[in-house]
Amino acid sequence: MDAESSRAGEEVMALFVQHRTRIEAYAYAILRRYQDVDDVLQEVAMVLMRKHRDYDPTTPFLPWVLAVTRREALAQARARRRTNTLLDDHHLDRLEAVMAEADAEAPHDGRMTALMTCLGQVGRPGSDLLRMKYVDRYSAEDIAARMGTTRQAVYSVLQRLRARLEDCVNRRLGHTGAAS
Amino acid sequence: VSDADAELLERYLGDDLDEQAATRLRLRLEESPDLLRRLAERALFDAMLRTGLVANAAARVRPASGTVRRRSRARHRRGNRPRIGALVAAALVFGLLGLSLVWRDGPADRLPSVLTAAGDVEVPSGPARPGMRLAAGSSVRTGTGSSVVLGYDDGSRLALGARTSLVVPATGRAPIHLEAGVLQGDVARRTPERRLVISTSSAVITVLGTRLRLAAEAGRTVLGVEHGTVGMRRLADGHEVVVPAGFRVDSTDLRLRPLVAEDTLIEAEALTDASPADHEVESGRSVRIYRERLPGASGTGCLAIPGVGTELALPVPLRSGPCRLWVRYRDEDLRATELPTFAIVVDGRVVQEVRVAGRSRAWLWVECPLDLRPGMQVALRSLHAGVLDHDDPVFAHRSVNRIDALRFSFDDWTPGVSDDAAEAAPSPR
Repeated sequence: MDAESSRAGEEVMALFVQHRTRIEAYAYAILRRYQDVDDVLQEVAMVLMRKHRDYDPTTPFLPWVLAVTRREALAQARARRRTNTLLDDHHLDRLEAVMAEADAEAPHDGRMTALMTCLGQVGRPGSDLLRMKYVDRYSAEDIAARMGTTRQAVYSVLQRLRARLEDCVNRRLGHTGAAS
Repeated sequence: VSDADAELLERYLGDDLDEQAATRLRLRLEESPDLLRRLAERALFDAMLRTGLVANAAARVRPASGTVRRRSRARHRRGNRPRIGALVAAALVFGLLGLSLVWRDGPADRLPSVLTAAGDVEVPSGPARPGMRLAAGSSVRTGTGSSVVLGYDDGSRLALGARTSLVVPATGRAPIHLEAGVLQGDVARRTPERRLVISTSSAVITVLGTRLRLAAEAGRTVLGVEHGTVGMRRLADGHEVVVPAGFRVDSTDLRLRPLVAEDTLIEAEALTDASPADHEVESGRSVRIYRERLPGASGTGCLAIPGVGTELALPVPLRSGPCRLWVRYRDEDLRATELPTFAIVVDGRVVQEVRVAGRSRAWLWVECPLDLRPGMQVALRSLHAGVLDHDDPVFAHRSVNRIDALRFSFDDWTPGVSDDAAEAAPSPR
């Protein structure tokens, strides 16, 4: 590997890290299982390392990497025989376009900082529920069983918690509207 | 977005959608363009939420030494007066707490056992032996050229390299402390209550279930994540970073850098001397071989190098410092006329060319001193057409250049009679 190629590879990986949240979000929107999403993120990182020369740095990075992500995510879904509840191709086309919109290029640092502050304001039961969902990766059914409630109730509480967090993030960033 | 649509999205993202509901969602996505935008927003917010929560989970971990200090201060305040009532109450509390730990910790958090030990591996009671379960609070130390694999009841394994020192926690909840050296882990997926936490002098690493590599020296920790997600918090300033699969991070700057591309690795275990076919790579193709899972260990088998320019990239250990790269090489070209045969390349620069004149069909150890830093790209580049199929019906033969073993040695290891023992060194998988 020559020095120039190595530099180009590092630049592509730096872009990957910068846009990682959006890449993860797209993989999650397709696969919806975090363990699969982790695998796909790794695959995408490996593809970028191997094929970084395919990327034209004069073009936007997000559409290119999202196309790679979609390919890897669909391959993962096929490998796990999970194609029956996937979105259709034209829905994925539209989803990819939304994910790659120009404002998506903006860095997420401010939003992430605001979210971390807002998470600190969530009470114990709420933070426990969020942790079970996002860190422990329990299904709604498992959470319901642990908390002695119904799956529907878990969905409702999670929706309310997310809405409160989105409001909090937007307030901190000084504007209204949905968090994106 | 209506409540019904919101529920559909919730169930879709919760992977809780049957085929009928999936069809309904597809229809609604057709009818309502806002719903698709909302799906994108939700997925993005979930990804951020997950990142934030994993970082928070990592930040909650505190090193064992802090706990000890707080206890000491509390004891100092109380003084040494014996108080029977307090002692009885404490005994009851600790008894209940002990029961609670036994109940909550489960098999995954029991103390590890020694699975394999090679060379000089010491525990407080003497040399480590396979099958021995380690006592709470005990330490394990490996000597030069030695290694040990520890196993937990849930299948998690920790492999320690040479000159490594690790302290097993006194309770199931305290971190394992890596004092110095190299650790490679293959940790079964765990709930947060049972997560594996590893502390070093400079960082705390929280593992939920993953394959990772960890190297520690005074004031510095390097973590590489092969699978899963790991949180690392730097003790000096509390800064933390979530390390995704495929990346590594150094506690000195907390920057994420890519790991070696695992999918191009050829597993050492897959290469066996017994296989006459060897493992060949396409001419000119760059491959990475994964002989060196730990300093002090090497794999077995042969890798045939077929063509000029074929480059074998080595995964560099996370440890830094002066070391020697050892390559066991054999040129089976009966004619041995094309020299030199290969070069050792560091960060794209040839640091040593290796010629094997006069040594055809004999295994040859080649030594190359390196000042190794994590992240260095080290490769062997073939300068010789390794496999030649000659069409001549009388003199038809096949000649092959083979790489048999590669190792980075930080120790006093030299090739020789100990090769067989070295090649039998354990792998965490």
